[in-house]
Amino acid sequence: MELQIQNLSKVYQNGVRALDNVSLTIPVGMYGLLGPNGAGKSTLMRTIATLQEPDSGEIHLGTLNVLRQKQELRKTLGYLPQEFGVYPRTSAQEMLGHLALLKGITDSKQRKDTVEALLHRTNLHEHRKKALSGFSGGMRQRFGIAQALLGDPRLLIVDEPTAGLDPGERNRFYSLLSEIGEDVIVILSTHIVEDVMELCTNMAVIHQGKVLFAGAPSEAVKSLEGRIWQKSVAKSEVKEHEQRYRVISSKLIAGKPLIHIYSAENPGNGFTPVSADLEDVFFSRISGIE
Amino acid sequence: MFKQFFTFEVRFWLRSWMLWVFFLIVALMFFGAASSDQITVGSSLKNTYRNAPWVVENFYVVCSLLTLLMTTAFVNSAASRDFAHNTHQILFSTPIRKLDYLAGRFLGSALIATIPLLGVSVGILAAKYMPWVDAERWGPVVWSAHWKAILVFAIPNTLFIAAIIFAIAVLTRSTVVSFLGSLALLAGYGISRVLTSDLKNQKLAALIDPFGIDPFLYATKYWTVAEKNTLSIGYSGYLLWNRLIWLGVGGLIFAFAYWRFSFAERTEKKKKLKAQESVSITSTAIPASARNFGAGAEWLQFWGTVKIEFKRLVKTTTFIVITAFALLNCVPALIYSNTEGFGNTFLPVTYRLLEVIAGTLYLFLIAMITYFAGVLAWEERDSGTDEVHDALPSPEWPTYLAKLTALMSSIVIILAVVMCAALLVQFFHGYHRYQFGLFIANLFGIDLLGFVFLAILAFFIHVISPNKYVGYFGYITFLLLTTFVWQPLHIATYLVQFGQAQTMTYSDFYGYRPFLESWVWFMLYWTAFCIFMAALTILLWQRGRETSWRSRIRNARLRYHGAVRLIAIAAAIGFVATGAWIFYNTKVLNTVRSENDNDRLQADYEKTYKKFEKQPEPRVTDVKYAIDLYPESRNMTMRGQQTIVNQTSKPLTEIHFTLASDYQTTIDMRVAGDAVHHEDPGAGFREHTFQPRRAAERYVHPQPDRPSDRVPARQRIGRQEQTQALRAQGKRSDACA
Repeated sequence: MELQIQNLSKVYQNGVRALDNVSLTIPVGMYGLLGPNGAGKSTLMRTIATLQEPDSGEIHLGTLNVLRQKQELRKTLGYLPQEFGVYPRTSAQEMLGHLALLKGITDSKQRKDTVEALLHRTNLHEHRKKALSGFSGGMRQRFGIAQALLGDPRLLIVDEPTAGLDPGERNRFYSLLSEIGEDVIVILSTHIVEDVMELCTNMAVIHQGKVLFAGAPSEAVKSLEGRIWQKSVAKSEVKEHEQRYRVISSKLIAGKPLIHIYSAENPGNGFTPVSADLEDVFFSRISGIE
Repeated sequence: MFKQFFTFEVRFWLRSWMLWVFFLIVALMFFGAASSDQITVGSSLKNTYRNAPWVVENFYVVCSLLTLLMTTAFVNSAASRDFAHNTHQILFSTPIRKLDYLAGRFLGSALIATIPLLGVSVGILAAKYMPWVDAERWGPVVWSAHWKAILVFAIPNTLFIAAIIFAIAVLTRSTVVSFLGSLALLAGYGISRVLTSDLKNQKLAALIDPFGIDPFLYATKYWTVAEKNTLSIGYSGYLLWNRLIWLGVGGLIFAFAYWRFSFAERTEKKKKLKAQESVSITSTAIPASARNFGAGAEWLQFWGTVKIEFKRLVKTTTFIVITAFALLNCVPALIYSNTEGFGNTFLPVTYRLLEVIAGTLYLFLIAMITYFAGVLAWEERDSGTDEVHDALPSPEWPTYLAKLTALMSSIVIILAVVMCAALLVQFFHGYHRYQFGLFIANLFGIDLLGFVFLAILAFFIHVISPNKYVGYFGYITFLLLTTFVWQPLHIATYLVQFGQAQTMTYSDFYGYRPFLESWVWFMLYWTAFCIFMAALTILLWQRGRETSWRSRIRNARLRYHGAVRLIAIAAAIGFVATGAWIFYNTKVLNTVRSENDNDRLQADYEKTYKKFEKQPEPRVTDVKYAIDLYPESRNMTMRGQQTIVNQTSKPLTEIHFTLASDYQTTIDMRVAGDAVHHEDPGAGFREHTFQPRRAAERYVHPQPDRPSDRVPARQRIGRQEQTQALRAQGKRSDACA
């Protein structure tokens, strides 16, 4: 089973081009969508999750026409939106049980077991009787993950799943995902490069509605091999360097800017070679270098 | 610091929905009470002006008691907000003064709690200008009554109630206890009034009533109608002392709360964490579970959603407060329904109690449907759960129908409570003819059907509205239009008035029978319409983030198959078919006259026959009537004999009869030995001139034309005017000699 996205375009009423002729093939396994905020990741994910309509283009999941057979797609879907609220005046356990019913788990014994297990796996079991509205940000996120995993989804779409999670919870969630992701299509969007590095076998970089790169992370890194150079500079020098070199990123290390540049040859001038990582791929792609 | 707490409180509430919903409900209720006899608050308005100063002040007295639970909602929320939102740890570690904090919260919320009461004034003032009110029952606006009532009753009563609730809330930090406290206060007040009603010393009674009802009634006990129409009462006499005493008591209660309140954290019992909980975190495998998506699964999802929506709905403060408010208006009215004015007592017969229920409760139920339909329709989007919900594989109908059912269940429960109250009232008045069937048919059949129509309409309008506010506005505008727009347009038929049919009047003689057939046809018509509208609601139900009409219609097309399609088509056919049938009966076979038509006919009649005004007429000197009534078909046959004698000094050439417009009439006359026979199948503006031997005489029956060829079984369909037309099956004979 594969998810085929063909020539998907979407322009919002305010003129923002959220998707610009996007075509992707997403196989079983973990697939990372990498892009800065506002790149169109959420629009793409919502469109796959039947919550938005593209202006043009097609999406197929196996033999399923996603844009027409919405109800069929929803039966295989688990979806964690980027932002979501909580149902007022309801406990976590009750709400999860209700969502399980709406996902088609009609047998009450099975429903109860599934909910119990998911509450355990998301570390919410001791809070199960608490009203959702009293949950902290991290607890809410874990609740969102639990509901997305209900009913063994074949297609799991998680939009910024680790936002608000502490490192321990994040690791726990990733092990949960990778456990599931073996025979399921998991689409994970993030703006954090490590997430993709650690988890995904395939990825796409999206910026301003366009796919800038699609393929394996290792492949992406390979294409930059030997072309990334770094240098630690004074703050006052950053501007000058930006004019002279193709600076792809600049971050502070111990209070001092460390810049990465793209250059096919050795630029000299104190730059040292550095082995490219996914972050370089990300920044070089979105700054328009190859 | 006091100012900050106070203004925060006031601003917070001015932006809230709850305040304005409460205000509108009070305004609507007193608007209804002042402008119509169908809606009653306290006792019905009799001989004074409808806006007499005494009435205004009396309304404020009653209302300040009714709004007790509204006050509770505001004050309790203000007192426990910091604990409910866990901000107390931040707030109480800052150097604020206890008095500023408590007094700011208390006075701010108490001030806000008086705002709904102002709805009394707004309602009464607006009612005066409604086109349907009888101008003679309205006096000039006496402004002093309004501001005196606010100063003497609204503010002190709210402060007194607020002090008690604030003390309870601050000391217990529990919403439930606060509401129980306010209910206990209400119950205690009711009991104390019963106990002190026998008090010989009326002056003492006037002092010990904390809400000022007794001193008000005592001070105005011997007022004449003219005094009630012109005078207002302020701080004077026993009323002054009463108010001072109870404001003092309120102050002491607040002081007590201040003394006992502490910023320190309560030591709460720490729950023991179970050791094994943390062990099992990663080890639990998620079990495989079978999934079902058929119709059976969808029904299970429907019931599951009904349960969870209903539980959420009845837990909201707004629901609890409006319900309590409604019951407070309805149940006492039921209890006192047998003592209506001037020492007369009535038997608490069922149909009368049903009228009381309709007059005192239904306004609230309609307000609830209006408000909660919007809340439920926008619930997912308001709480931000729409994306989770909309991506679930459950189709649209279980969600929609479950929300509708949950809302109607809450209405059913209120109706059931009121029915039990009515039965208890009958029991305690020693009236043992319990008509369970009539109660159920009326409350859960006829009336509930109307509420269901309203709810379906409200959901539909919300679903096609771009946001909640437009939805509320659209719904209310639609209801106003469908009620008021047709008369100016000279259109008189229930076919265009949403959910309406002829009002059925119950009679112990014949039940609803003469109206029932017509009612059933109209209800079939509107039911088909509402089912169609419900199908449209499902097709257009907002799912996902795409709100443009193009994509919504595309989605509707995708959903248009199977049961929804069948139901939509069947309902559309049913609607058109019943509509055509009703139209054929009321417009082709019969005519329905609007009020304007009637006025025009009356004017034509007067213009045409003005010339006979001074005409000498013979006198009727003797009449004998035999009248047969057929109540179940609203018919009668009347045979009469009149002796008409010419008592004028001249011979008469003409005799005029005015004939009933709705009856077929046959007249046999013997004038000077000649038999004259006239059959009048319908009535009309026709002058029948006939020529007996001696003198040219003619009679005239001045009524409009009616179709004469009628098929009885078909004729009962129609509104009131229509039904009168149907009575023409009967025969009336006037014989003259």
